Amino acid sequence: MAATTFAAFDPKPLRLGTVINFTATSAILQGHVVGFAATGIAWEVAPVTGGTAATGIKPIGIALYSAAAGQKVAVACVGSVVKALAATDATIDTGDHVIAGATAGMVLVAPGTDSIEIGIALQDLVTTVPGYILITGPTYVPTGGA
Amino acid sequence: MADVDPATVFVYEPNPTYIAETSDFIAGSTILAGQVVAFAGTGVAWSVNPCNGVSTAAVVGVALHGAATGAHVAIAGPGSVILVQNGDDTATLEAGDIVQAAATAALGCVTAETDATAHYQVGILLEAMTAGGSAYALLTPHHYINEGV
Repeated sequence: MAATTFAAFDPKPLRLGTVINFTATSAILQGHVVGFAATGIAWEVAPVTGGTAATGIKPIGIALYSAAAGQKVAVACVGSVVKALAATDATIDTGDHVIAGATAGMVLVAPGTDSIEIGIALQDLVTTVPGYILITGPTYVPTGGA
Repeated sequence: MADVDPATVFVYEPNPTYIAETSDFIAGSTILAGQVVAFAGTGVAWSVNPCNGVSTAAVVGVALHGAATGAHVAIAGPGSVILVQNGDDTATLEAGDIVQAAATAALGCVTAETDATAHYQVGILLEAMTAGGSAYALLTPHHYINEGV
């Protein structure tokens, strides 16, 4: 399950739900899953790694374009249908709930342990080929939860 | 921890910066502008009340204005960016914290999400929230968090 390398891509929204204007705390690439750090800063996001509750990371959406640290960045949030990139060689099936992956800005299948889901895959996602997800979160899903 | 008094804190406009899904409901009891509202445990069609996190817990959204019992009230729903009120006058919250409805006494307020009991999520804070203060949140209600109970 090797991690893929992230290269900026156009998330090509089929539908934009809520779009929020944040400030990038570090460099963000177009298509990155972004969110708040464990110790959050108001209206500031960065590429996120890991969507388990233990990491404290709070993914909130996908960057619609690239931004350097300190710049403004528009983030597609809940209700948006946009492309995301799978974090590992493992296929994400259509209908799988996804979290932020171990590699910055990518997504991974939600585990059976505490996690913070960002959305649901609308098609099979394979590495190197971004696919569509519906952003439904962030949603905290504790172990054993629905 | 001490619960805030809803009558004292809900004296502001929720000032949405973005209104997403918004629906017209009927107030099942008095609703103050900015309160998180929910269906009662035994739901009544199109009727919402200030959320108490226990018996009235199925969160719909945040009231855009106050309403007397029986009056129409517009509720900002999922995807809206709007002020929510801290139900605790001693605890602070951070940007990125996911919040749920606060305890019974703090009607219509929020508190940090916990997996101790089953509950409904309200949203995620977009900025820090002072003790007893308000802050902008992205609303992501309707998610029932079961904690495997």
